[in-house]
Amino acid sequence: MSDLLGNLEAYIRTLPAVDVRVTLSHSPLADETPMRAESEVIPGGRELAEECGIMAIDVGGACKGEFCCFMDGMQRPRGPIYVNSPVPILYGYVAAAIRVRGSDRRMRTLPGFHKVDESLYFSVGMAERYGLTISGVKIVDTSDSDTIEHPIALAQVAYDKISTIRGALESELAAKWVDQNKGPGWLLVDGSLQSDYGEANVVGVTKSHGTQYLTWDEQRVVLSMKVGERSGAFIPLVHGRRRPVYSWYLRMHPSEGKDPYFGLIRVEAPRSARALAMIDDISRWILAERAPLSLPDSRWDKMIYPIRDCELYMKSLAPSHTSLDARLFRLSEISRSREG
Amino acid sequence: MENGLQQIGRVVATEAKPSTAYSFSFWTADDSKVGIGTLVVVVTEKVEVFGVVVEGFGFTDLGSPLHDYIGAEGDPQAEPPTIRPEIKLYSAAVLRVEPEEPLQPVPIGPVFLADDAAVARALRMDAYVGRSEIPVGLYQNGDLLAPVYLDSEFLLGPEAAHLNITGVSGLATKTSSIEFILQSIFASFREDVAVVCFNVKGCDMLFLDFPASAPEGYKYEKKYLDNNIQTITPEDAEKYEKLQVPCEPFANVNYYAPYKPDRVNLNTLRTHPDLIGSVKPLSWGLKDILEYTEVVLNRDDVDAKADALIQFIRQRVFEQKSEANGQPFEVKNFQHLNQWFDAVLREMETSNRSEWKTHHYATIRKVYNRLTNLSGRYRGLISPDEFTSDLPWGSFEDRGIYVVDVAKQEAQAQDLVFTRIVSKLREHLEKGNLGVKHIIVVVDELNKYAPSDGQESYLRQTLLDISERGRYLGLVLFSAQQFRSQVHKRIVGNSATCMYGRMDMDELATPGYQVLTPATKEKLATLSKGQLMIRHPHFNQPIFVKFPRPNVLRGPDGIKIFPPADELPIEEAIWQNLSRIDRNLSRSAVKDLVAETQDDEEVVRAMNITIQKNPDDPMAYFRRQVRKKANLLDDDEPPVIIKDVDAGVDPFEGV
Ligand SMILES: Nc1ncnc2c1ncn2[C@@H]1O[C@H](COP(=O)(O)OP(=O)(O)OP(=O)(O)O)[C@@H](O)[C@H]1O
Ligand SMILES: [Mg+2]
Repeated sequence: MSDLLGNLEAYIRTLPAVDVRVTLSHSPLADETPMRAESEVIPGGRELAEECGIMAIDVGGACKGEFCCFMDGMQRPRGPIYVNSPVPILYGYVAAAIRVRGSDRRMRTLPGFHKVDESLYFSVGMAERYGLTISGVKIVDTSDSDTIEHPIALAQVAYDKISTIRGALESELAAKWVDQNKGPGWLLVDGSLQSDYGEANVVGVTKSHGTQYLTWDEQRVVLSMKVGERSGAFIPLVHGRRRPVYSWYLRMHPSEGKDPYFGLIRVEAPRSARALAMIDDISRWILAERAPLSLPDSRWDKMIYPIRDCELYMKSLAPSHTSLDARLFRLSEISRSREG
Repeated sequence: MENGLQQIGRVVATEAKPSTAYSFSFWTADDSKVGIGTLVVVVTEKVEVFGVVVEGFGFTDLGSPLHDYIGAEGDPQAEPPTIRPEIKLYSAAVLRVEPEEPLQPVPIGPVFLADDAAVARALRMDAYVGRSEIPVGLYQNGDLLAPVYLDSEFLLGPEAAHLNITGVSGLATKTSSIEFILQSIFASFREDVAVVCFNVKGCDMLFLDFPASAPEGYKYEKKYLDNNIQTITPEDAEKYEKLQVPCEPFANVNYYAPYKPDRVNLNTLRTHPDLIGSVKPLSWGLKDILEYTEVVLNRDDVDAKADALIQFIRQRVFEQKSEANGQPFEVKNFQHLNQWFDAVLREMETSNRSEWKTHHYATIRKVYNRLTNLSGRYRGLISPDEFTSDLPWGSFEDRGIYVVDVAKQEAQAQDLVFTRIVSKLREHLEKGNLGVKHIIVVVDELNKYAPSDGQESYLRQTLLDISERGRYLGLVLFSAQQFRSQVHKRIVGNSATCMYGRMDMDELATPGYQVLTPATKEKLATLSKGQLMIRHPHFNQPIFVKFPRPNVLRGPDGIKIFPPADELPIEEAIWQNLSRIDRNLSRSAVKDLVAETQDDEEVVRAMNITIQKNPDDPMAYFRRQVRKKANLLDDDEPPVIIKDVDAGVDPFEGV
């Protein structure tokens, strides 16, 4: 791994006058929270794909399926860091991995399917206004003419950009997998399908429900689905555009007496006739993945174990929170040591 | 790997479970050969750390068993599509770090299995192999068998000494391991050494001169086959080869046993006609006992007054010309002593005096009673007459084993035998005239002879004394017991080398084993035969080894091949004993003489004297000895004065 923060430190030390400020205590869940969708509901729409509409359908119980590969991504943002200016600079580590489940039912990384990226995210143009021309490190420019010139807004843009890069990494891996795998096995990815996979054996599973695709009445049907039931399938619309997938909701665990979203996932499959015919099967395959449980992960009701496994794998290789914090702390010390 | 070692794991350290200077953790591949007791090496650029695995953990990311239950819907047969990764994590205790300074926590690094050379370094054996090594067993690492050596300077002195072994009956191979290590000492020790074994249990050590496996063409080959004697396996033979210890029985074994009360049949199980000739009687006379009166007499009895009288007898009566009741005496044995006492008492009675040479009448009665009772109480061991037979004081042989069979003796007689022999050993070692410079004393059932609780006894004091001072003299104790916790603390505490065979869980729960990890305890509780855990001053941690079965006929097998002879009637026994010095001795002549004499004690005395003298014409000599008593020949023995009127009754009992 490149020593990105070390290089940044080296650069800062070359500056004649330094005022470095670092936001150290980011949320401990920083790996998962920065997606806007989690906190803000985005309006969407739907086009019904099955004649029955959005009614609850019993899929007929769990059934051992064809999932053999699993993909997840992660991001570890840190900062913001301010160097001689109020322009927020974010550190971002992103990764994506596909893990294969062998005939021994154990998970291993598919060779060549672990991708990582470590970059600094900031508006290069604004930084330059303060004479900052950071070199020797990988930079992702977040300049955007629409952005309000306010440190918080700038930081939010940078966070979003980190998510985007992560999504790109995932898409890249998924595309490569689809390209190389023509067998009967299926790939299950964490989150929604980013591109049109045509007839490929790919399924996406989303745990967050921040986009409103269904009408109020339809939402009511979905939220009262029992365990083992799915909703009728639909084509999701975003900004009025039809996404290249069929989607449906599936209740993984009984939610009686709990949060109505407990155990509720949204599945996406490529928008092909083949996938449409397999909705019940795919649902049953997913139900079979409920064991082993993903506990102690707090999202265990919606997260299948192989995805947790991918996540653990990536996190075990990512720079730790402690080491990142230590690096950032060293940055913040530079100006003080200069004063002294 | 460059160093030629096989990498089997990687060190891991967390804040919750950090490495220290004395311990570290590592994980291994699923199929690695690591287990409790395995020796490993961590190699980094700066240091090499040798460690022994003391605990193992296996776990998955499962947070609670309940999660597995829920995930399987309560169905134990449910097969989840994914199997959780399972880690095998081991804790190791540090044996050695190179370089030794600075002493730092074990670094993160690759972990390798130790090979022969690494085992030698891990156990610091490089310091003494080639100089004072004693093979003790083989450390097994997968298919590799690495020899483990003890340092004789720490086993047999002078740096440290003594060996103690603990373990349950029958499975711990305590007796066997002592036999093996003795053989190993004989093969490797660079100075002279002899062994005194106290056989305290049945037939345990009575066939040390016979092999476990009959070699081809061996005299007893058929008997071995008929009795289905368990032989030495090729694996055991390989171990002998690896350890360079000859796979043989002991060449020079000498057996001693007291007589039975009849004083003609030896009180041992080694009485098969083929073997009885090699057992010498252990028979001590008045002189031998006078030096150890405090052991054989009840301590409460020997007050200052009694002690003064005993001193008087030692200095003025025993083997001296003296007088009592107007008669001349030269007391040489217990019979004489009885006569002397009778004369003294008679003199006091006739003169109506309550004191005799400042000794009070009551004291004299009391000492008389106690001393003369001895030859009755220990009839087989203490000779009433001048015949004595003892260990070869002054001419102990290098590599000789002297087995003293006290298995059939009652506790007090055992006490006397132990105490006197050990005291004599010490005396001779101190003076440097024993015949060898090192003596190993083997005592089984130590918890019986040196219990942690219970009364102070001479024997326990003697054993404590060896354990504390013996190493300077060359007097070394090899002891065994089932329960170490029941043995006097300082005796086991002074034992520099300790071995543990299969152990009892209750024993492991006692405070003495707190330093062991639960896994090590579990391993100890399930050790198979021939496996031992060893502590030795050079080893920073206990080490597990395997040793081969000793090539010595096991007691129970020996009894099968050489069943003990029935106890013989006195005339038959006398004839047989005398036949040992004269093969052509006439059975009927002996029989007739015994019948004629009508005094068994007398013929037994005559027999013993004859055997001891080994004259040219045994029958004639024997006859002359018997006649002496009948006063048919000139005699310098004092006449019989009086028979003890109340022998065995102590008028002062309860005074
Ligand atoms: N190295 C060995 N490998 C396998 N078996 C062995 C080995 N050594 C001894 N044995 C067998 O183990 C059994 C018990 O051995 P041993 O008599 O030495 O045990 P012990 O601990 O002295 O028992 P006890 O407490 O009854 O005296 C014997 O049958 C012996 O043959
Ligand atoms: Mg034994």
